[in-house]
Amino acid sequence: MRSEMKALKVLGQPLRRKEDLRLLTGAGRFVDDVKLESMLYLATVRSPYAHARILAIDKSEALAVAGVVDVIVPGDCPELDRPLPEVLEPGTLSNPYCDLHLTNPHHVLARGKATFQGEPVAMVVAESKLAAALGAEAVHVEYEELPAVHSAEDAMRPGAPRVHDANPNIIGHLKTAIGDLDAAFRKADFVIEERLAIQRLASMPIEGRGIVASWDARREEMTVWSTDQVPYRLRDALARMLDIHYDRVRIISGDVGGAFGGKGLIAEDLAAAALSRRLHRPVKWIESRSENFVSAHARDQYHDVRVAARNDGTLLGIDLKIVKDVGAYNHYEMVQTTNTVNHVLSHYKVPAFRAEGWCVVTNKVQMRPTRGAGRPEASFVMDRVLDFVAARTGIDPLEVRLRNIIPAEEMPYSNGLTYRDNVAISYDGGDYPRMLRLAAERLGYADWRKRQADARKDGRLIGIGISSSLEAGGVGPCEGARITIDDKGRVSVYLGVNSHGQSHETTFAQVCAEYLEVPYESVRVVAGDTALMRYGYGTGASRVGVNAGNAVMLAALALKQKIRALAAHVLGVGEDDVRLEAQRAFVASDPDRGRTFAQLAQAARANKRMIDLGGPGLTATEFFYPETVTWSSAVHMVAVEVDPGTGIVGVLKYAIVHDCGVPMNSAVVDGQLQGGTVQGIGAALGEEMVYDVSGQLLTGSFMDYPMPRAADVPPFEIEHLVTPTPKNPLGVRAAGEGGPVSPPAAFAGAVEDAIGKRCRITRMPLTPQRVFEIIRDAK
Amino acid sequence: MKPFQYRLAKSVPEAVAALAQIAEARPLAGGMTLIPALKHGLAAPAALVDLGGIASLRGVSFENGELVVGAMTTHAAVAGSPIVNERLPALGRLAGGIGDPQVRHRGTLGGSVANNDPAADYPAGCLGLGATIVTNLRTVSADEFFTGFFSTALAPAEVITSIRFPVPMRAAYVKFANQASRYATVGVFISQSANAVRVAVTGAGRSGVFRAGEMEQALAKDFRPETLPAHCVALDDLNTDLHASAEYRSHLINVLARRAVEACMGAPSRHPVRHGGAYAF
Ligand SMILES: Cc1cc2nc3c(=O)[nH]c(=O)nc-3n(C[C@H](O)[C@H](O)[C@H](O)COP(=O)(O)OP(=O)(O)OC[C@H]3O[C@@H](n4cnc5c(N)ncnc54)[C@H](O)[C@@H]3O)c2cc1C
Repeated sequence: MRSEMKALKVLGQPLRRKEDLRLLTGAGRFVDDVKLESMLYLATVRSPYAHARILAIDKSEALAVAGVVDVIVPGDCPELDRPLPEVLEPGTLSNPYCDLHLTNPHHVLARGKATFQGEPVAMVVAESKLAAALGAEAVHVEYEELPAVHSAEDAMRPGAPRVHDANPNIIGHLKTAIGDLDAAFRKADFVIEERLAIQRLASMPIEGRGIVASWDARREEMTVWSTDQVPYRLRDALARMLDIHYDRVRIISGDVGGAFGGKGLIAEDLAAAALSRRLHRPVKWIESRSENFVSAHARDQYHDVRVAARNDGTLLGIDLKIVKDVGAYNHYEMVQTTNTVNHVLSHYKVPAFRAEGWCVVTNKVQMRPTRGAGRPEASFVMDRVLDFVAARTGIDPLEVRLRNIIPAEEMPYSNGLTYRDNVAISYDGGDYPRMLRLAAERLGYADWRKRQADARKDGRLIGIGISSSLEAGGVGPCEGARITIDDKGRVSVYLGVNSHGQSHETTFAQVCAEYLEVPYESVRVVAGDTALMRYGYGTGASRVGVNAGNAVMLAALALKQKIRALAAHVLGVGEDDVRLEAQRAFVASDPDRGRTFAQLAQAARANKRMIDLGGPGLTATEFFYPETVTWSSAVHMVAVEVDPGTGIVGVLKYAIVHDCGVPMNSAVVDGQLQGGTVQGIGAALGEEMVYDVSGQLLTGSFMDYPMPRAADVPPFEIEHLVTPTPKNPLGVRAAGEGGPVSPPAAFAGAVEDAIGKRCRITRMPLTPQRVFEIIRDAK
Repeated sequence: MKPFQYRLAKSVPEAVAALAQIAEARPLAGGMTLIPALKHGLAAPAALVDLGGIASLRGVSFENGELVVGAMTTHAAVAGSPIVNERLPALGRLAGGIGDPQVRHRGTLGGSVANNDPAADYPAGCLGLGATIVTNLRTVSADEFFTGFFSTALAPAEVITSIRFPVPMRAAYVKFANQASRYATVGVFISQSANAVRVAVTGAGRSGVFRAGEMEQALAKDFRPETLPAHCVALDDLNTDLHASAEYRSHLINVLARRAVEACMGAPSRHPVRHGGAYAF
């Protein structure tokens, strides 16, 4: 597809972000900044219990609170007596592995019983935020507490209470296999078995969720300001609920303070819109941080792995059983678990592989994806396996990896698995052995091995960890871009994807500047408004760079073609005689004869040549439909020191080698990688959502849920390799989700290596207390 | 948060009068504990009497061999005070290790000590130095002031005005910070003066800060880390929570006490890995 590798001028440059001036001077506009005339405020009454029957709701006292306009309980508002729409209707992505998927209706307000602590039970709408909060406190709900299902193991045990009366607790199942696994185990010199667990954690955006919904009764239109990552899904859901054409719903997302996968449609979105139409007033809901802690979690997946290997360190086969605790509701089919299966083989050749997975409901907060979405679990499993093989055979972990790695000559490499878009997986280039060796060089692997031995003599614990990762990204169906040049030659790019910090205004301006050959400064990217583009598929799954980036490129090329055609007509020459340069179209043989883009934009308004060129104006819209995903890759290596007294893990050096194809802005790629890696370090060393056996969340605030802070973060040695993908014209691969994938595995390896004594690290996170226990038990 | 009255006091007597007059009034210092408590509905006082406008409650001085710190002096001011860092650097470092910069620039000595959070740092400093808490009514020794889990000898409408810290020969505070809150999971303050060794432990005890008598005796005989007992408190008296079991806390008391003694002896730290710095988390 990629015809010529033209020398890039603007694309890839670490240009200053266009959004920074606004954001850094406090001029960003977030949902909570939206203040409308006569606006009402929504507050949610939540179940304090993980599992409880709702016997009665008494709203009389709440209705008497000054400023309270109404209290909504099930039955009060027919629009809200419905389940939230499934994000992925079963079979949407034709998941090739999934053979069971049960959907439990997730009602806007709990019906009959609450199934997790924090579930909305009633809502209060009031004249002020305070009145709404006081009203919510005054709603009296009578509960009968039921025994809670607090873990996946608990949920699967015979006779376990049911989270949802209508369905068993196992709601999803998948399986797949490649190669002859039985033969692999027969031929094995040894077999390793282990249970490996990734904890429950959560995306922690700096801005929580929020919505303002404003019904215009005269025009019968709904305007919504929202933090949702997929505004079009919200638009469609609201249109369905309100039973109006989706063109009558407009979703605006201005600046959004991070999302990471957690910001999707929730109860308050439907409620705000329904109540705004009923009450003919705008309704606002802003999530508090405490609410954010019980709105969506992620990961919480364990893996029973059996490995057949040879004494020379080569892998023969892997048998993997996966159990994912999805909390009370699951709107994402088995996407995360499928991602784990499809990323677990990582950079390595495994002749035989069998995977089976189960999704299990519990009385905990629902799962949504978070950055990495099944991939950190995958790297954790694979790198742990390789480290165990190294420990067992006495071969250095780096060497064990080199003995199993896919050679560059075998690219594009197919491992026999199928992606969740039902296309056979094919790694589209990259040089994994080179990445691994380069990472070892950048870390100073050999040197750290020496230092490790010396430090040990003084009782100091130094260790090295290695993790490789893959990031399939750019899943379809498509994204579009419209580019318009105005009468002064200024350029607008319209997109159907909103940004929550990914620098769209910068990177897509670079794509446009590069391929339309206009100055970066003259390009403005406009997005986050469903009135501007009618279709969009969301900012998530590392899909925007590939989909929207290529759409911008295609639209730029299409617009150039249109300019060429119009210029040929205006100048009275053939299209082949027209050259474009410096925002001007001119006759190749007579460069003085020409028109600027600005002049052509004026001409295009009424010129009849435009009849065949799509109508008036210098504008072009194109959509990019990827055939399937493209694969980015990375290797992380870390040297750590473990304090044997306290169990604290400190980073001595951290090196990353990363390949995401052609970068659109190298500084933005670095930012994505660094931020993602920091999230991964949080997951490796501290973050965990902990519940007690009654289903009460014990880590409900930042006093107990640790996030890494600036001073905790080491400098990263980053090296980029650039292997353009042949799967799209820009040659770009995904860059959004790779960062957090490897740190858990790398730290597990490093801490295990530092402690030595044949200890095995099998679960995350490595909090100081857990490291202390590992040291204690290794003695 | 429920609505409440707000009074900005200009003097201690004015503050005390307001506190005595209004039922369920509370003094407001830096608000780092009180405001979150209001927000979460854990406290709902009828009025807040802000001590922030009383200049006499701020500042550090050295009088009669004691360091005197005003109740409204922020942690950052103590950490940055030349007098503190010259006379009692261990106290400066304690203040500089509280929470994060925002908390250190709002939170105050008086607020911290009045609150007596079982994981706070200053109570260990007060007890480990044998400080005297000065209020509008009286002076109270640290040994008598801290009476248990979030409780003190303060009477209603009694306001801490300053704290007097005797200056020992040497002292050190070593803290193991909670990864999330940065409060002390365990903190050990050790001081040695001509007539006594004091060892105060915060974060670990079920009823708040306490003195580790066995450790004091061992160090009084022989001030070296090796002499410290491995376990100095019954596990039943130690906290177990999400972040640390009683067993882990007991272990940490010993490890941190050793490091504090080493620090008192001027040994350079052999432990590069620490929370909140050196890329440890
Ligand atoms: C994120 C975070 C991290 C923190 N980390 C640490 C830490 O690592 N170590 C640590 O020790 N502390 C920590 N703190 C607590 C902080 O240091 C403050 O010391 C503490 O919040 C109390 O001080 P304040 O001035 O904010 O008091 P306030 O919150 O204003 O008041 C606290 C209580 O004391 C009463 N009070 C205040 N002043 C007086 C007075 N002069 N006389 C009588 N009563 C009074 C108030 O009525 C109230 O009951 C942390 C706090 C936060 C929010």
